[in-house]
Amino acid sequence: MATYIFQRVLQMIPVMLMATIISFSIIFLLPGDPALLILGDQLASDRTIYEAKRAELGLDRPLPIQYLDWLGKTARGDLGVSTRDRQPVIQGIRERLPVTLQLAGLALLLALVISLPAGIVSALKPGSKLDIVASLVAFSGIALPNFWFGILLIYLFAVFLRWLPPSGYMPFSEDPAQNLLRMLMPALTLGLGLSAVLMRQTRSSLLEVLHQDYMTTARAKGLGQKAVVLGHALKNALIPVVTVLGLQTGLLFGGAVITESIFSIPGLGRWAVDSITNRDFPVVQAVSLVLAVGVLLANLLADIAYAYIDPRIHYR
Amino acid sequence: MATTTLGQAATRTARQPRPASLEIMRRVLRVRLAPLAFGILAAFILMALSANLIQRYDPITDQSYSEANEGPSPAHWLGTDYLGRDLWSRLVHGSRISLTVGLISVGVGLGFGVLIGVTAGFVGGKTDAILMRVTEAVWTFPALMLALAITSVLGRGLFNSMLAIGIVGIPFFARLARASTLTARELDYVLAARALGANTPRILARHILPNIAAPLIVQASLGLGTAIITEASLSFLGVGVQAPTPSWGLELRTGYQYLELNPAVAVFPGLFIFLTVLAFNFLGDALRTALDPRLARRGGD
Amino acid sequence: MNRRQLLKMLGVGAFTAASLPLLEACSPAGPAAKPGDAPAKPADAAKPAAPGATTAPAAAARPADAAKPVAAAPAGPPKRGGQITVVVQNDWVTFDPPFNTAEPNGSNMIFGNWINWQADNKGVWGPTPDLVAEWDAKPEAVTLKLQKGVKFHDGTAWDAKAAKWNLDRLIFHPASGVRANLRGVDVSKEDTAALDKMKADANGAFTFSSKAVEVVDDSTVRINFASPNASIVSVLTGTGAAPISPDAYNKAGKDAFGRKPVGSGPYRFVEWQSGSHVVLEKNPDYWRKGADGQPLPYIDKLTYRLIIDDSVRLLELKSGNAHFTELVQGKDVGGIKSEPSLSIVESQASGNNYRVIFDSSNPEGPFRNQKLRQAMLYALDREAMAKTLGFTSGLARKYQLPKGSSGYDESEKLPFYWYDKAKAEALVKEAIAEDKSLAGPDGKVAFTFTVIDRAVDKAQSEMIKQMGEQVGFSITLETLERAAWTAKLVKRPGQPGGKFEMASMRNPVTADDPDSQFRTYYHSAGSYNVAHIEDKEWDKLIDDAGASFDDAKRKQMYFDLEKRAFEQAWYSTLWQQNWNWVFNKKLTNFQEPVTNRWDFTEMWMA
Repeated sequence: MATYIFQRVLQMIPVMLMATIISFSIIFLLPGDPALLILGDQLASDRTIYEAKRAELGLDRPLPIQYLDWLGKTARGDLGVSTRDRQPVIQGIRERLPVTLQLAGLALLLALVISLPAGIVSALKPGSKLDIVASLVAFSGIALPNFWFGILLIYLFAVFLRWLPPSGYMPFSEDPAQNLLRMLMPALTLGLGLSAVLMRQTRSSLLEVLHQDYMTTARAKGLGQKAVVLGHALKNALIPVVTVLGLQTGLLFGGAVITESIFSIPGLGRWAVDSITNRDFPVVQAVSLVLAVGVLLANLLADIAYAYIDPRIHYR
Repeated sequence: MATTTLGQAATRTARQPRPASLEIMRRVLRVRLAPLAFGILAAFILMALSANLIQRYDPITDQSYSEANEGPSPAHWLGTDYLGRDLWSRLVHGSRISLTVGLISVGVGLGFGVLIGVTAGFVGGKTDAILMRVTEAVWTFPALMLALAITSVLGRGLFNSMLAIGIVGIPFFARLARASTLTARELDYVLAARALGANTPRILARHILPNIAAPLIVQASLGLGTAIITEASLSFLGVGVQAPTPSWGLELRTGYQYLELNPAVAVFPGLFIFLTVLAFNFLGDALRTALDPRLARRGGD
Repeated sequence: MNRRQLLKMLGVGAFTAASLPLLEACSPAGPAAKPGDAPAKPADAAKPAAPGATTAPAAAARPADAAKPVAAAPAGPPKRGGQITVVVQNDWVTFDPPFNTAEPNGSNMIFGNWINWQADNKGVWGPTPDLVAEWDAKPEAVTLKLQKGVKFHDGTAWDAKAAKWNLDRLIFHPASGVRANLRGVDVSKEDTAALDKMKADANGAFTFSSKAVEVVDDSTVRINFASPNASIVSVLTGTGAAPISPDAYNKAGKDAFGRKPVGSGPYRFVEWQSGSHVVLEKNPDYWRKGADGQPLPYIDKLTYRLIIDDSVRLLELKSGNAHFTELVQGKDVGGIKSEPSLSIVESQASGNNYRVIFDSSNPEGPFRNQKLRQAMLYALDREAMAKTLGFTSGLARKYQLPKGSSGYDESEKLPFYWYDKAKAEALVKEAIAEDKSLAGPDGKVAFTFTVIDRAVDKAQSEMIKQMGEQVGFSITLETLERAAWTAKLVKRPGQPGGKFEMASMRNPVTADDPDSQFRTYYHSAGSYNVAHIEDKEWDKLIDDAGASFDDAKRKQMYFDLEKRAFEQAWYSTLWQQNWNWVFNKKLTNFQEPVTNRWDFTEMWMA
């Protein structure tokens, strides 16, 4: 298993490098002069200052050298300074990453809580009324545009019923109750698509496993139905589920972008959108890199979990 | 969803003589609720084709400021927007945009994805490694973010967002095409053909492509739904279709802004998107059931 | 009784007990005098000594039916303590006044002003002392006598040295946003070597000392002018000119100071979390005193929260999580008026003005032709726009200067554009007949209309497209975000950009000095000359009006400017959304500020 993990990490490296190249170069494709953007209108009108900035940024050097320079700085933690408010980007990430992680984490939790039991029950009683309803709901969940769902939630619970606060973020350290209350609708919105996908995946892979030959063997051994399900079937059924989870991380972060925008949550996703809009290119570079790394790490974790669960790999 | 199932499906269908399309259709329609999905899709396609006939007002130029922000009424079935334009007429024209976006972006994604995936799977070796690493690297960026970045490079608007969504979908189809190609490549008669000295284009066209078609078609139909939602997301964020062109996503954005004044505008566009995507997903699922004999035997998901 | 009934009783009892103090607090106490009177306006003593000269719109009576400039007599004596949350819609960029290209959003509470701009009990706006106790503005020099006993938040003194340092920075720092407005300062005697040295290290400590600004004594400074600047007092009331602590700036450097500002205002800076919020706490050593003889302010803590989304911020206000905001959209005003926990104050003197501008200097664009510009302006139905986009708060506008401004002409002798479809069509036909190249193969005049990515601007552009296409134009809408829009419109040496056809913009307008209205946006040397006007006569009019200390002459010059703007049709103000402020009913003693310079110094939470 160790070799498996090692192989996976090794495979990740060239991908990570490619991702950094993509992050770096997208900015140079964005229209706008970087020096002008960093200085802002006022300072840039003075020729001397403008030229000095261009020289400082090394915009006259060939692109590959600029890339390596940027890569080196990034590795050392110097991600530059935001052109909008002159805050060091690394600081901005430190402030916003936990917020997005909390949102994604809660969404994941909600999704698991909803989808796993639903998927298991559906698989145990395929074709029953429960199964049909659950499947339909899951199906709908995938088709539902999550921002529409979010808007409807806001209208229902915040505008019409006034039960929940509509927006904003309250740090957990300041007021845990408000924090969770405000995260409820966003987490639901974000977790919706995920729970639908997970539910269907759980159901179908559990169904498949339950019909496998080795299950008959297990039952023949005399284990009770419950033990059979929990002990053997689930473990094997979870393999594709875990894989799907890893694949869905990208979608989760993408969904966070819209969810954070609708609910005014100061996380990484919304920062990414705003910085693309504002041509704040140090931030765009940094955030896209962080998100890519996050997705890669999530996939790696999924692969490792996979290695633990799948006996074929576990015992290699 | 796991690649193994689809790969096996490709193998299975390859061993049997290819079922006639009619046979597939029959199998699709046997799946529970598939006829309903078909019906919904047909309705939307009809709507898109006959938009000019079933609109009640011109969706762009019929502005009526005194009737702005009204809910459903006999004069305006779904209500009006902030400039007094008829929502029904706008949504009807929006169906054209959504369906076009779906088709073109999936077309782009599928086309380039198959090109890359089949090349990687068939040629193998270094080419495969490089192509796959690049594909994976693009894959790691959250789709929406990538689409956003691409539209900010290309500029806003309908065409560019179609391109962006298409580009974002390439890795997905590429991986799928590659996996299926890998399996198809090892089939008996393919190996035989190569041994006999058949040239590559012939092998690709006559043996590989038909065998990988099944899973690709399934994913393409699911991809249509995703593309529509992504377009709506881009329009919602303001970088997709631009006013005054009506698009479902753009109307949702308006609905969000005027939520308290006129909630109807928030409900209907989302409903249309939801139903269309639902129908595409149902269809894709039914296709998958129909094309995989194993699942067909079990009576479908 | 069973357990359930017992619990219910206890619950009700507890609830009643808890709400009694609340009910008590809400009942009006006896009539109270207006608390915390600002130091008495030194009436005419502080007004400029030059004959008949005043930079205040002294003659301007505020529109009669406009909002109440002074809140009704507040109920009860001021209560100290508590905190309020203010919702802002624009993110902060920096807190350093002259480098701030975004909204003030709280910086005025950190810094205070040289001179304030306030309305008196009768609703007449004019300058009042703040950090400057007395001023004397003459054509050749302006003398400022500083308020005594004021300290910055870091303990350093507000004295002539600090004032000179601030003025030097405002006038000479290359990135200073108020440089253009401080024109006329006598820079002839400056040491060019020292100036260059300062420019080379623009981000470090500011050590340049000018000859134009003199220290007269410990608490008096004088600025020497080479050419007269009649709007200098008005410039000193702006948030962009607010004085900062020299010590703190020199220690921290430009960027760091902008993130951790030190001023002399009623509130000190505590923290700024980017994209989220800013926290200020009261300055215990503030020099102004409240009704109880203790230093102002009354409220302990101000939290400014960034909520960009309109519907979200309204919900926060309605639920009581936030207490103050401004500029709610016209469509939401009705809903707020019927909301029991909120107050709304509207103003016609201040408004967000929506304008359209043409690039008359673009040789390839159709708007090089004057008739087409005029045609477009006749094609627009301003009242429909004001009503549809501004709802009850929208006001269609005829002229550039608002009512209440000293340059405003009440006689209605000034021509203006109004909705006239027939005239517009005729003008388009005439223009095409004279110059066939203006129209495309379809016989229509095609152009691109560039707007900023904002909801109202976009809705407006759709209306304009509609109206323009009815008279013979063919319009393509182009939406750009703010930075890209600026880059496209503003000409910069060595940069692409500065070419467009027609664009729309919006900016806050108050009935203050007319000079800033014309200079920044339309003077050929203005820092924001987006209309690309290059007209020597025009520039001269603006300069002369800005230098004239003669009231009557000034008024005539602004009349001439408006007339020329009408003839040339380079741009036009279409409508304004009246400024409004929305706040929790418990927030007491609200005084209408100048647009977005909310002053919480004398407010309290009941």
